[in-house]
Amino acid sequence: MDAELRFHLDARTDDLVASGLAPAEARRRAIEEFGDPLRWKEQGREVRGVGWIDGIKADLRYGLRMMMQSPGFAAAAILSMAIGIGANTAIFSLVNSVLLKPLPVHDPESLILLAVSSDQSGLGSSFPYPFYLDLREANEALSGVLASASMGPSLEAGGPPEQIDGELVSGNYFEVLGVQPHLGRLFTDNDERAGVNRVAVISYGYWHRRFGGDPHVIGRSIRLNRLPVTIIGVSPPSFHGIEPGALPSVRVPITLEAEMHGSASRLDSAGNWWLQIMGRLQPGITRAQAADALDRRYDSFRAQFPGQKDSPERLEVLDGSGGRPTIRKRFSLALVILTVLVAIVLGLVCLNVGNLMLARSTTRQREMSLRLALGAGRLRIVRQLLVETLILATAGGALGLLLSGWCVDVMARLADVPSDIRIPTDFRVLGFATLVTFLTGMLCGLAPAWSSAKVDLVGALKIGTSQVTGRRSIARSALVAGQIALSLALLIGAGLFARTLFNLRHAGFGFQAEQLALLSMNPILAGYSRENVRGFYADVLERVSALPTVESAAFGVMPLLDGNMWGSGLVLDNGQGDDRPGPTRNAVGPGFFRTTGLPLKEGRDFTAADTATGEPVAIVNETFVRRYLGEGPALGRRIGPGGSRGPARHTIVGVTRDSKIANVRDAEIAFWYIPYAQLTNVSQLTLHVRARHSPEAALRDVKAAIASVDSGVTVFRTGTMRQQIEDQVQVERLLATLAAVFAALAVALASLGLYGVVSYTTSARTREIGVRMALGATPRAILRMIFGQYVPAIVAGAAAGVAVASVAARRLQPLLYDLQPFDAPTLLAAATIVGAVTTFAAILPARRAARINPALTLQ
Amino acid sequence: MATTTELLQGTLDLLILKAVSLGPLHGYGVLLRIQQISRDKLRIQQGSLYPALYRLETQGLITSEWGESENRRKAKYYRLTAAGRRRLTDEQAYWKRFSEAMALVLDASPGDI
Repeated sequence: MDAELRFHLDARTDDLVASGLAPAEARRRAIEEFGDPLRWKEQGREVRGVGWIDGIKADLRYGLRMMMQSPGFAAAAILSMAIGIGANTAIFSLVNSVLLKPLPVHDPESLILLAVSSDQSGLGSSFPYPFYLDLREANEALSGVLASASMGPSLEAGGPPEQIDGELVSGNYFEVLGVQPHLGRLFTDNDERAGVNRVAVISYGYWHRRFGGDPHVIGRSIRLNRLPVTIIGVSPPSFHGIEPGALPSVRVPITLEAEMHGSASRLDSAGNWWLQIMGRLQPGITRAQAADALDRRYDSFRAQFPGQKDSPERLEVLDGSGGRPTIRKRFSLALVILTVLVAIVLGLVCLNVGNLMLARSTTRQREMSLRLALGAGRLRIVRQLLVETLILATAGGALGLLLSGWCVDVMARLADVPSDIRIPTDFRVLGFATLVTFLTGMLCGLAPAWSSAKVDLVGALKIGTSQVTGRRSIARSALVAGQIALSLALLIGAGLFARTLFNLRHAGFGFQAEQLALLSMNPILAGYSRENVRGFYADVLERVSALPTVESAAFGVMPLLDGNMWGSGLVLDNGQGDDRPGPTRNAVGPGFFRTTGLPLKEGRDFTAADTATGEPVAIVNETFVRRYLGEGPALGRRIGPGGSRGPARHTIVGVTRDSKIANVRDAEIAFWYIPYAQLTNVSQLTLHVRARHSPEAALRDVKAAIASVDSGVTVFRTGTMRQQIEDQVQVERLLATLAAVFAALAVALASLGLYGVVSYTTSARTREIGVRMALGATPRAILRMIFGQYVPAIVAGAAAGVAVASVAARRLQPLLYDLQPFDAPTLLAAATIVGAVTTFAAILPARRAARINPALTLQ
Repeated sequence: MATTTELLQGTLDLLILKAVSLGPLHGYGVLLRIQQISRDKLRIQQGSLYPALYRLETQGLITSEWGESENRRKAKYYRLTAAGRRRLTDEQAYWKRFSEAMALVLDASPGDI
């Protein structure tokens, strides 16, 4: 339009010049003849149906002007919206990266994950190598199938060995995923052929940490479990593997498995279920179709190896776009709960800002009435107010996005997210933030806009009429009650999580968790033989026990509270047994019970006399006795591992109290112990150390002592029992901390809201209060009158909050520990806090009202 | 300057349609064309010309495209569409009937009754 206008004026000027006018004069005349170009533009737009753009522009200008006029209000609104939007965006960033984001590989949607299920043992995700080979042969459903298994080798690259996370993968692993190398090359099928290449691909993160990003790392030889392998490539920075949360530093072809572990190969065994399998669907094939085809393959595989009667019955084909769902399963419920909590906070923000707007709209009533009287449409007024809140929300949203970045960093630290994993602000997060900003603006603006457009013209235009109408004060009381209800519900939830965390940290573990430290080692990986490994362990124990910082020490196969269980079935001396799921066990050294502080109820601890050649012995726990041995003396009974491992040879020599074994949430686990000396094979053991003073000092000394026996043996998974427990309560810690933050925000918002409402209404009633006082009302009575007005709202809000919380808390049950959802102390404490804080928030302005000087207000 | 006549309500659209039916014109050209054909008797408010052009364009009676003017300036040229041509014919017929009727009424003398 501007171009057309310019042309018109130019042409007219030319004509006028031609008719004899001076150019400047001609120009002036041309413009004058044309009239107001702005009006012309507006008319033009209205004709085209885009006239509302001018309207919105005017609204924006007007809205910005209004904001400048009351910067305090604008700042309060923007800041609270920023907190609400920022917190929501931050939580959504977590949800996005844990639950929504697909693997950073080529076309993740066509990936599938294989699993097996059986009625006895539920879902499993491991397969034997022969089945994998079977799937890999001509396949009508899948265009590619990969296999992988995790491992924890010790790695030497010209320094002391270190224990790292690694993965054994099929040759086509990267090819099926469609991952390109960052440096060098990735594996090909050829690398999977036995005895061809000893090669490795390292991850980008490890390349930077260990090799400083040196481009000459390609071709370098490193030793994995003492086996020399050549680095051929570096995987890209975004790629961590098929299991979100796991960060393998090195990958080697699956065929190196036996050589690396110095054991018999598992590749030929159809009974060894150890590989994860993922596949890529052929184009045009659905998951259901693939499931049919793969199920047939699985059936024929089972028929081929009839000896495998324990193999699970059904093959499951799962969505593989997000990789293995380990992290997802662990965090999904917590994330859902956090999403709800943080949405409530945003709801409170909306109520609060809405309330502020409502109060302001009352003061702007005259302005609105004037505009209405001058002929503005009611919709036009509503639009004006919505535009104003949207301006505020946009500012809040932008600030919130900044805040969320910071929140994500804090949360990542809380949840111990490794630095290799980035929680990105991608298009989903940005889209979410935009949507939330828009919704917030609409929600905050709608109620005040609606009530503003409904003003009574005649009444409002008269000066000095009371501005507090009955309906509005009811609406305000409802808002107050709603805020109190939501914040109380949130606080109750936070209380439940905090108590759960406390209960888990201070649970009766059964053993003495304080001053206990753990270190794991596997001399086999450092080249020890089955025979001389026992000598190594004996030397270590001798030196460690002599340390002044160590009270006592003992080895065990399964570290306490590290999440893993060793199930090996059971046979009893009366011929009975239990293979599924059966009791779990551990093999430990002499003094294990004394060191861990796990008390023996009867019988004796293992001693140095319980050797491979001595009488096989066992110690069981109380639940074991109750479940398997029944009445009568337990000592002297004989038990043994189940399956085909022979008769019950181990004589029970002791009974321990029940304790937590693998997880802090363990309850009533039937458990038994044998001396590790009586195991046929000993490889990896964990040293449990009871420190005399600080466990950290003991750990340092113990590490030095082990290195003095053989510095070639890697010590890994070192830490205190407290750290171990903190690792286990990671989800609960995240939940409890964030819920507490959100609850604090909620209570603060609710009290601010109440404070605002009370001070606003009392200031509107100043004259009335002055009259009352002049007529003899005491300040006390005024205080009671004003505060009493809000008591019903506070009580109703509190009641609603308790009701909401007790319904919602039932959903939280799986995350709680040693706690009922309807936990009276938590309810009471939360109600007291909210009651006290809100009462304080209401009384502050009410007291100010009670100090009004009637002589001044009545003038 | 010759005596000019202000436009009757609703006749501007018809005049524009007629003007561009004689060949594509830019906005200023439409103005000149109408003044020229009416021998400067009809005077068009320059500011109301463009809203009318946009209105007709939105109604699909005329279309526009950018071209170059006589003195090599970029200008937007308007041209009649098929629908515009039909409308022009209808309006012309209507206008003829209307002005004939008006003339009859206004020319009436007492003897005609």
